[in-house]
Amino acid sequence: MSHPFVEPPLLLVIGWNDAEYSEKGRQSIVALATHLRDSAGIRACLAAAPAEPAARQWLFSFLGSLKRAMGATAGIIIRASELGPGDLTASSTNGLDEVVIIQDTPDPEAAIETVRRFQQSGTPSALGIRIWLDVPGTSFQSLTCAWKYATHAALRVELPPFRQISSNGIPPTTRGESQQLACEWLRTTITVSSHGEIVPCPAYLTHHAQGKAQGERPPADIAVDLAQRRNAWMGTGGSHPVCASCNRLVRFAGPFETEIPAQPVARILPAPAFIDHVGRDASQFSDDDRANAMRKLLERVHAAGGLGPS
Amino acid sequence: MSASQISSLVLDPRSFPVLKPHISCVGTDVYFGSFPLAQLTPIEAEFLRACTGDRSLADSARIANADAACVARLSSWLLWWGRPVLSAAISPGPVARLVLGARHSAPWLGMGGRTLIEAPGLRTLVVNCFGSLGDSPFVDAFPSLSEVSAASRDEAALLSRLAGVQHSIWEFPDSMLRETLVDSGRDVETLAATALQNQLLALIASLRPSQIFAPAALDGSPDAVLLFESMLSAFAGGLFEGELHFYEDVPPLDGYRAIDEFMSRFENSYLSPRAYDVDITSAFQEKSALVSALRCNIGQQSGNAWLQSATLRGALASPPVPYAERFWRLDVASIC
Repeated sequence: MSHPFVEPPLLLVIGWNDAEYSEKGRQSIVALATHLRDSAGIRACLAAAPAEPAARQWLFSFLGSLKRAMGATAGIIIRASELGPGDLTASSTNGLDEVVIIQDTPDPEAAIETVRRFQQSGTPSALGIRIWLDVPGTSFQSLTCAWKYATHAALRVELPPFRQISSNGIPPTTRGESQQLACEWLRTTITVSSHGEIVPCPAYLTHHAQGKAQGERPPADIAVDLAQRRNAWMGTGGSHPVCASCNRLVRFAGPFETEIPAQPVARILPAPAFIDHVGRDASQFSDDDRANAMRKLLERVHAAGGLGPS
Repeated sequence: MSASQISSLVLDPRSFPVLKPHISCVGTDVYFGSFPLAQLTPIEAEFLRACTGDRSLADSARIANADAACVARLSSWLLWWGRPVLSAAISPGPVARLVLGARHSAPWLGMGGRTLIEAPGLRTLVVNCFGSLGDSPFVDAFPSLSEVSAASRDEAALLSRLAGVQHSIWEFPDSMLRETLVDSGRDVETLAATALQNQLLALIASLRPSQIFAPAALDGSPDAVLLFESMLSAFAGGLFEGELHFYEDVPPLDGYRAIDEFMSRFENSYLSPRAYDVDITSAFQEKSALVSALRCNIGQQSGNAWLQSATLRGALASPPVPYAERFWRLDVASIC
């Protein structure tokens, strides 16, 4: 049988919008994975953890078996707000390669503490941990620093390849199926809902939740359809070759794609040694300038009634 | 020592300080990007966390129990604003003005003063078209693309809150990423241009802005050129209604030759760019603050060049004004 894909795709399973993986959904996912194994193969499988504990346990088990049976890289996506102490241990004992923690709350401390405890537990594990920051309106840089410096591990802290909450500022459009499916995500990733329905990319899960998905389709049809739509962006057919809802052509590479760069990325411009450009404004003042400026500040402070105890 | 540098230490208790986006305070540690800068006292850290832009300096200091010396020590990490800063970006809605940029900093450097002045009366959407935002001169502070990208988004979000505009970051691949896209025998640039123009036209059709601003692509960067050419060809083809303006995306102090080349682009064309200047004197101090918030992609020297260029543009304006920004409005030339 000829492979419809140039390389095996990443299978992405998004289930948390459906509260739990239903029995029918589990069967669909297993059927799709089996079909892909027999046709295109699976490079990796990444699945979002449902909130319901039994469904989450099933998912750990499914991913572990997928890894053992197909040799696929396996990972799980867990929201930081739902990350429990047992999740990292379960990931490790089931042989998963990576846990992706979606930092969905402004305060990362609880999730950091969970990761820290796991690291300190001494459990021998090759489990990778990756952080996706997805808190619109919060400082990404602060969250990055909090994670980087709190865990003392080679975590990857990055913006997610898709957002759970659209901060794009542009409401999703409702275009025809052919345009929706012209999405770069499909170059490497098959995204299915927990009901076994395929969606162009995670950006369309909102449509899915609103009942606008295409409906369930046999796995064989999905594989053939995807093969035909590969490189959709590169094709000139259709008036909107770029995914009209998500516009996202950059960070489509999901987990397992790249290694942590040993050196700073090559594209960064050559630069002199680090200078504290932020603090330099004040440090360059002469003593007289500094004294004058401070005097003016204090005068204004006193004139305004002070800044509190001094 | 310039007057503007000295004035950075003249602090008004009624002003509204907000932590600069490239500065993070985690616990009592302060970082520039992810480079550790200093360790603070608990009061200093509390004061920095209180500087969210929605309360005055006096209130922030009072909350943290910070004294004047504490404020002075931390002042260079803060951006000082004359009015409360919006706590969140403006929600999406109809806009009268659409401002397009290749890099997230360009619309603010080129027309930040005008945006500050006019946005209150003219609902504005600023769109950064290319997504990787990966260049940074500060390797230690932003060691990975993801961190540059995250910090850039923080900057874009804060500037939009300061100016009271909507903002959106698209994810079109920038030129360096496009170079890596392998597609046998096909011109990726042409495909990207088509995709970008289609997306822009879809946005314009849905929002129907009366004014659209795009970069003049004076520095010749591939992304800016792609955006410029997309808008120019769409305008020339009559594919949208509304005015098309170009703003400077290189400081005129550095780019006079580029402006000549820009103008020569329209020789013998039925399209004619009409240059005009906008007096931004009333917003110059605020624009200076905006520029100080843009640090992960540009150095201090580059920011200063933009501020000095405003002086030059003001001197060349007719009549002369202290500070100005230069634009070109694209018109259809009269045919004799």
